[in-house]
Amino acid sequence: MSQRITPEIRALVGRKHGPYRVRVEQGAIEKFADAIGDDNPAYRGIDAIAPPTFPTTFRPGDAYPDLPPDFGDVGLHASQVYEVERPIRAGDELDVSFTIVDITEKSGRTGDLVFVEREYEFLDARDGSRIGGGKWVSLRRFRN
Amino acid sequence: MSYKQGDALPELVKAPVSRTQLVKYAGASGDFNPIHYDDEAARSGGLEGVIAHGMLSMGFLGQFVETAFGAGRYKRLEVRFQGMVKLGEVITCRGVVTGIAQENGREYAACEIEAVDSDGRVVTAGSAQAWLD
Repeated sequence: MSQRITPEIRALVGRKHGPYRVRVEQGAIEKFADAIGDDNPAYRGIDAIAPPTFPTTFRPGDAYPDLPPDFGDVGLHASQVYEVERPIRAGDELDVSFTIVDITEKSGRTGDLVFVEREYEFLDARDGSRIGGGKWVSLRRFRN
Repeated sequence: MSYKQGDALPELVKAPVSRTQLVKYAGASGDFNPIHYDDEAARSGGLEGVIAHGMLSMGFLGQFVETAFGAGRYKRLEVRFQGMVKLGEVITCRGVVTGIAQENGREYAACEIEAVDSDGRVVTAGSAQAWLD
C-alpha cells in the first residue's frame, strides 16, 4: 500500500485553505435553483434563501492545497456532506475555510483510487458565528 | 409538515438530464470539469461519455428534502456518489423517515434518501435531517 501516496502528498493532510469571504447573491441563488430545475419560490427574490447544496458555489479559487492536477487519470466526487445551523440567505457574507483531514488509497476493480477528505466551515462574517459546514471527499482514479 | 418514523417521503421525479442542464449547472455551480460537457474529455478519462455532476444529483435530493419538509427546513445532507448519471437519465428521488429526534428543543426527522436512475439503479444515496417545526 501507499504506493500512490508519496510523502509530498501525505504532507497535504492538515493543510488549511482560507478563510475566504463569500457574498451570497440573490441572482446566484436563482441561477443555481434554475440549473437544478427547482422552481421553489423560496429560492427567488430579494429575500431568497439558498437551496441545501448552494455552498458548492463557494469555490476556493485557483490556488488551494490539492493533489497535483496530473495525478490520476480522472477526478471524481466520492461523497459530500452539508449541514447548516440556519438557512443561508441572499445578503449573507460568509467566511469559508476548509482543511484536508485525510488522504487514503485503495485498489479498486478498475485500478487504484486515492481519496482526499476535506472538512468545511462557514462562519457569519458579521459576528463569527458558525452558519454551517460540511465534508467534501474527492477521488482520483488510476486506470489499470 | 408532520412525519413519523417509517413514513415514506413524496417521490420527486426529475426531467431527463440534458447536456443543456449540465452546462447550466456548470455555470451556476462553478464546476467546469469538462467530463460534464465534453465527450472527448470524458472518454480520455476512461468514461463512456459525458456524465452529470455528482452534485447535481445531490441538488435533486436537496430539492426532494425541502419539497417534503418545506424550504429552509433542511439541517443536514450526506450522500455517497455510487453510480454515474448519463445524459437522458430520469432520476427519481425517494426516502423514508428513520426516526424523530430533538436538538435544542426542536424536533427533526432523520431520513434515508436515494436517487435512482431509469433502471432503478441507485446513483446517489445517503441520509438527511430536516426540522419539523
